Amino acid sequence: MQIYQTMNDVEVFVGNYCAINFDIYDLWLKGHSASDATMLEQKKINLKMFGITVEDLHSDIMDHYRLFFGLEEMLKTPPRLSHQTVYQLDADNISLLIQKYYSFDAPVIREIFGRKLNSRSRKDLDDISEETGVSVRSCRRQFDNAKRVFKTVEELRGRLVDNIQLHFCLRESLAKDYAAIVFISNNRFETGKKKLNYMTFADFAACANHMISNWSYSSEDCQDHEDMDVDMDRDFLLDLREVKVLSERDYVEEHKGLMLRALQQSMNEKVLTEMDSNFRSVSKIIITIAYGLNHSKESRDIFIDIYEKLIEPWVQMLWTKSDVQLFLASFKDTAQQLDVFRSSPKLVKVWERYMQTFCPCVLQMYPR
Amino acid sequence: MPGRVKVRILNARDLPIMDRASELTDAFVEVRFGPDIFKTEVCKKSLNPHWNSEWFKFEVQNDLLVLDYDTYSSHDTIGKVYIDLNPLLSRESPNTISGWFPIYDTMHGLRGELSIQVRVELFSDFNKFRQSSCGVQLFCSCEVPSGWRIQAMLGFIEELVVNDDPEHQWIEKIRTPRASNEARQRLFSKLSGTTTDYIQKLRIDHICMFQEYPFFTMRSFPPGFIINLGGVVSARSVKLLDKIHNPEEPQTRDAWWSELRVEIKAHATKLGCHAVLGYSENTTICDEVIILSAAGTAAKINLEHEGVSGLIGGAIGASASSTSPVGGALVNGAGGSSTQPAERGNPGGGIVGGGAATLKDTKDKHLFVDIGLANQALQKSLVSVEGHDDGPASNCSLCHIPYCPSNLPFEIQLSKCALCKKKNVPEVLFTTVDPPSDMPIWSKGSLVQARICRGRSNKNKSSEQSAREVSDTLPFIEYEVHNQLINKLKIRGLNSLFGLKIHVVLGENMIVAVGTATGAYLGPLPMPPQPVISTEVATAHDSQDLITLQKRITRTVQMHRERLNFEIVERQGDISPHSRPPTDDESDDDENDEGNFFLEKTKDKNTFVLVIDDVKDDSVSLMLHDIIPPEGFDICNTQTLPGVSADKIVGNLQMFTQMVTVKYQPQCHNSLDFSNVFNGILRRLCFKLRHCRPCSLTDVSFYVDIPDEDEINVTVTGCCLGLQDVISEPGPGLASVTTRTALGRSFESQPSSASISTTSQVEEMIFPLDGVGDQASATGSDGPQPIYQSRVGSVSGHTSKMIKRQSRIAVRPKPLKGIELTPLNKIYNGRIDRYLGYYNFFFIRESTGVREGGGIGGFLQSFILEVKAIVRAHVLALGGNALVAYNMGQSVLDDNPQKNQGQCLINVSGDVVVVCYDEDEKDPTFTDASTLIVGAA
Repeated sequence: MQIYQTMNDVEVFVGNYCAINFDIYDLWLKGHSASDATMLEQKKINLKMFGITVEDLHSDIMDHYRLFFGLEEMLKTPPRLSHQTVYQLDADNISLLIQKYYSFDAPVIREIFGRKLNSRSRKDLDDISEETGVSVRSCRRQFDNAKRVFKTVEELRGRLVDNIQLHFCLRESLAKDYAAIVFISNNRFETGKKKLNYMTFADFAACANHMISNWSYSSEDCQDHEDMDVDMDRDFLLDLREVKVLSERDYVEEHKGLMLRALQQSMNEKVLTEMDSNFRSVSKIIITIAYGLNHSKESRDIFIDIYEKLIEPWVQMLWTKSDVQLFLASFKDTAQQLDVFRSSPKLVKVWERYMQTFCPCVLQMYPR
Repeated sequence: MPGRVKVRILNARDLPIMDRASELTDAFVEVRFGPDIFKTEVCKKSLNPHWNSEWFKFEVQNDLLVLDYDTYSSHDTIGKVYIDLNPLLSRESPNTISGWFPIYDTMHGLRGELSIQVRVELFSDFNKFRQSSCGVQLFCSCEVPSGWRIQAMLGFIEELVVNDDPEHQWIEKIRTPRASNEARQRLFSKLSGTTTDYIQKLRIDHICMFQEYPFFTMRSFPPGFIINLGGVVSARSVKLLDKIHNPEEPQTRDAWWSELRVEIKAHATKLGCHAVLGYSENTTICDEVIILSAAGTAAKINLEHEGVSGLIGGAIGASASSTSPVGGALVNGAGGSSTQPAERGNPGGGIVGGGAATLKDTKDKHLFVDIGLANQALQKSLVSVEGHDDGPASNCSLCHIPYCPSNLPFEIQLSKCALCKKKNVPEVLFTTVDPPSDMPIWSKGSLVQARICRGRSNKNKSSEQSAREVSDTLPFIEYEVHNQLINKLKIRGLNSLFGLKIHVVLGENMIVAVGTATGAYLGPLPMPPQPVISTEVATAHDSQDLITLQKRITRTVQMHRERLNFEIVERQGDISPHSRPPTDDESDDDENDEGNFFLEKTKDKNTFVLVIDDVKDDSVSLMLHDIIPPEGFDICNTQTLPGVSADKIVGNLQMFTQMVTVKYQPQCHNSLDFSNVFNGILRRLCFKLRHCRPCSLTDVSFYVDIPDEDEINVTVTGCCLGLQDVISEPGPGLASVTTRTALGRSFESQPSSASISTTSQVEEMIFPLDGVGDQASATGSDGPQPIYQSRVGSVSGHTSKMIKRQSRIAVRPKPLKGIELTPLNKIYNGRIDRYLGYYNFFFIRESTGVREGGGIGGFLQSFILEVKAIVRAHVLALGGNALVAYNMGQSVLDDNPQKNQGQCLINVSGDVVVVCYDEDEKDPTFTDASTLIVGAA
C-alpha cells in the first residue's frame, strides 16, 4: 500500500484505562498488516460518519497494533497480566485478551502437532500457511503458543489441564485442547501420514484427552500421581503386557464364541459372518497395539495402526459405525467372561482401562 | 526537621533475565537516602526474589526529599525506584508508604516491580515543626480543594531555582547515557523539592506579597469572589540568555519576571481591576533567545469575601498560628544554551493549605531557570464545606465592565447588558479562568483554537539580531491569534472565551503560537453579528467566486446559530426564574417565539465585515475548515463543559494523552496546512473515543514543541466525561422533537467537504460505529432517527427493536473503578475524601533501539504507559485511589532515526487523593449508560 508509506507522522494515544478494540485485535491476531487491517476496517466503518480519512484510520490501527505489540510480551506469561501495572485493564478484558491470543485455527494446529516443536519447524510454516490459507504470522503465533505451553508444562507434575490453566489462565475447553497438543507432541504420535489426513484436530484432541484421562499419570487408576502427566502411566503399560494371554489359541476361540453368541440377536447376518472370519486377526491387532504401547517406537504409530489394520478393512466390508461400536463393546465385555480374567481381577482392571479408551478412540476415528 | 525514616524491602517480581546462561537473575537492592546506603543480600537465581529484609533506619536532620532504590543483579543495574517522602510529612496523612513500585530504568523502561515499606517518624518538637516546611500542604488543583475552605488568601508566592544540566556537564570520565539521565532525574526532583520547600517557607517570610502582586494562579473561585471580569491581560518579553553573567544565580531572571509582573499589574489597573486571576507564566527558548510570557484575567474581586478580608486585615498574625496556609504555585523552567552547560531545573508547584495551584511548566532542551510562584492563603483549620449548591443564580453583573465607560482603556464597543438593561457590557469577553458557576452562560461550550506558524530564519545572525527579529514579530503573531479567535468565535455565534491559553513556541526556523480556549454565549453580551466578506479586488470572475464563498460562510454561520438556538432555548428554560428579569417580554410558555429569538435578534444587527484580498484568503478558509466535533462529542479546555450541569455527567470514562509528531515546513506558508495539523488531531481524537459517545472532552490542553527544523510535536491531554442522554426531560416536550429533527438535518447540510456530513449521513450518525453496515440501512428506513429524539424521550416505539440489536453493539465503556488519573480537580460519581499529598516527578527515557521497539511511536507509547503506571503505583502506595489535577507539563522528544535513538522527557504532577465512590449511585449510573445505548441505537 503506497499511500501509507509516505506518512511519516507518528501519533500515539494512551489512556489511563487501557481500551482494547477487539475487532482490531482479531485482525492483528489473524496476522493482517496494519495496511490490510485498514482496508478491511474501511469496509466496515463509515469513515464519513466521523469525518475521518483513510490515513486517520490507518493511524488509529497502527496505534492499536503498537499496543498489542507491547501487550504480546505479557501475553506470553498470562498470569502477569492480572498483577502488572502498565496496562490498567479489568478482569473481563484480560481474560478475553488471553483466550483470543491462545485461540487457534484447528487446521493449522492439526499440521503443527505432528512436527517437532523446534525452531526448524518454525521456519517452514510457509507451507502450512499455504495449505490452510492462514497467514504466516498467525501460524507462527500458533506455533509459538503451542511450543510455549509445551515447554512450560512438559516437566511439571500434576494434572496436565490444571497446569495449563494455572500457567496460561485459559478456560477449560481451550486448556484441554492444549493438553491434547502437549500430549500428542510429547508422545510423538504419528499424525502426518496421508491416510490420516481425513482426521481433524478435534478427532485427535478427543482421542488424546481419552488417553490423558485413562492412560496417563493423572488417570484415576494411576497409583503414582506424582509423576509427569504428559507421559503414559508406566505401571499400566507394564501390566498391559499381560493382556497378551488373550491371543493364545484357546482363549481366542472361546472369546470368539462368547462374542458371536452375544451379538447374534442384534447383528445382521453378513456382518456377523465377517466378524467370525476376521475375529482372530482383529483380536491379534488390538492386543498387539496394547502390547506395543510399551515400546515408544510402536506406540507412536497407534493412530496409523488403528486406521490401517482395523478401520480400513472394516470400511471395505461396509461396517457401519454402530456395527463397530457393538463389536468393540462386546469384544471388551465377553473377554471378561473368560476364566483367565475371572481369576485375575488385576487383569480385568487393566483390560477395562485399556479398552475404555481404545474403543472411543476407534469410534472417534471411524469415518461417518 | 529531625526524624527517622525506616525502610524495608520485601520482594520483587517479574524481574528481567540478567544472566543469559541460567535465564535467571541474582538480584539485590541498594537503598539510598542522602549519603547513607544500605544493601540487601543477594537473592540468587530468581526472577521473583524474596528478601524480607530488616528495617533499614536513616536518621534525618533536614527536610526529607527523595528516597532512592537501586535494584542490581550481580551483573548490571536493573533499575531504580524513587520515592518522594514529602507526602508523609503532612500531619493529616498516614506516615507509611507501602506497595509495589515499578522498577524503572531510563534505558529499558519498566523492569519488574519491587515491594517496599517505608515509615517516617517525626520527632514532634512543635516549635521546630513550625519552622520547617512540614505542615504546609501543596495542591496542584487549581481551585479550592473539595472539603476545604479558604480562610485567608495570603498572596502570590514564587521561587526560582537554577542549576546546570548534567547532560551538558563536562566531566573527566565518559558518562553513560544512563548515568546522565539518572543524574538529570535526580536533579529535577531535588530542584523541585527545593522549590517546594522554599515556597512552603515563604508563607512565613513574605506574607505581604499579596499587595505587591495581586495575582491568583487558581482557575476557579468560590461564588461571590469575583465581582466583574475585565478581560485577558498578558505581557511578553524577549531576552538573551547569554546576557546572564552568572548562570547559577537566579537574580537576572527574577528581574525579568518582575518586569512582566509589573506590566501585568499595570494592565489590570488600566482595566479598572485590582486582581489578576488564572495567572500563569511560561517560557520558550531557542538557542540564546528566550521568550517570557505571563498572562491572566483582570478582575474586580470582592474584598469583603471571607478569605480576602482575612488577608488584608490580620494576615501576618493569622499566619503565624496557622497550620496549613493556602497558596498556589506556578513554576517555570527556562533554558540555557547548549554551548553553555546549562540545565533547567524544574518545578515544583504547589500550594499550601486551602488554595489551589496551577502547575504549568514550560521547558526546553536545556534548562536553567526555575520559578515557583504561588498564591498563598491561610487556613486555620480544615473546614468541610457543604451545601454550597443552592443552585447558583446567574449573575449578569459578572459580565459588566469594571472600568468607567467614559474612560475606556482601549477602543471598545459597549452595549447595554441584555439582562438588566442598565449596565454596560463589552462586545466580547476573553478570560483565562474557568467560568464562575454563576456566570450566565446560555450555550454549550466549544473549543476555539487559533493556530499560527511563522517562518523565521536563523542563519548567520547574531543572537541580538534574532532576538530583535523575534520581538518585532511577536506583536503581529499576537494580533493574528486574537484575530483568528475573534473570527472563529463570531462564526460560531459566540461572544466569550474561557480558559484562554496562548502558547508561543520558538523553534530554529519557526515561531508557533497556539491559542486555545472554550467559547460560549454569554446572555448579557450582545449577539455577534453575521460575517460578511468584502474585497477591493473584484473582477467579474472573482465576484462569482465571492458570492459562492459568502454563501458558504452564511451556511456555516446559519448551521452554528441554529444549533446554538436550541441550546439557548433550553438554557433559558433552565435558568429563567433567576436570570430573566420580569421586563423581558418573552415568557416561558411562549416556546415558539422564543425558539427564533436568536435569529430575529441578529437580523437587525450590524454586520461584521471581513476584508479579504482574494477568494482563497486564508482567514476565511480557516474559519470554514474548522472541525465541528462529530455528533455526540463536545470539546472544551475548561474543567467542566460550560452549559452542561454536573448531574448530566455519568463519570470519567478515560483520561487520555495523545502525542503527535508531524513533519512540517514553515516555508510553504499556508496557514491552512498548519491549522489542519490540529484539526486532524481533534478528528482522530474523537474517532479514538467513538465508543464513549455521548461525551465531553474536557480540560483538553495542547502542548507544542519544535524539536527540529521540520518537525512539530503536539501533546494533547484531557479527560473524556460520559454524558447522560436527557431522556426524561419534561421541558420542551414533544413539540420540539420535530423542530429538532428538522434542524438536525439542516445543520448537517454543510458544504465543507473535508469533514462535514450530508443529510444522508445524519441518519448514519445515529448508529454506534460498530455494527453499522446493514443495521444502518434497516433503521434508516424508519426515517431519520436523530440522536435528539432519544434526548427528548418518546423513543418507546423503537425501543424493542433497539434492544434486540443492543447485543451486537459495542458497549460503551462504563466508568471503571481502578486508579483514576484525571486532569480535573474533582471526581464525578465520587467525592474526594482526603488529600494525601502532591506528586511531581520528571521522567527521562532513552532508547538506542527505537526501531526494534516499534519505531518512535512504539517508544513514545510505551514510555507514556510506563509513566502512568508509575504514577498509579505511587498513588496506591500512599493509600490513595486517584490523582486529580493530573498535569503532563513537559514533554520533550528528541528523535534521531538515523542513529535509531530517541530520548523523551516528561513531567507529571497532581494531587493524590482518596475518593469515596457512592455505591448507591453506581447502579443508576450504569443503568443510565445502558439506556443510553438503547436510545442511541
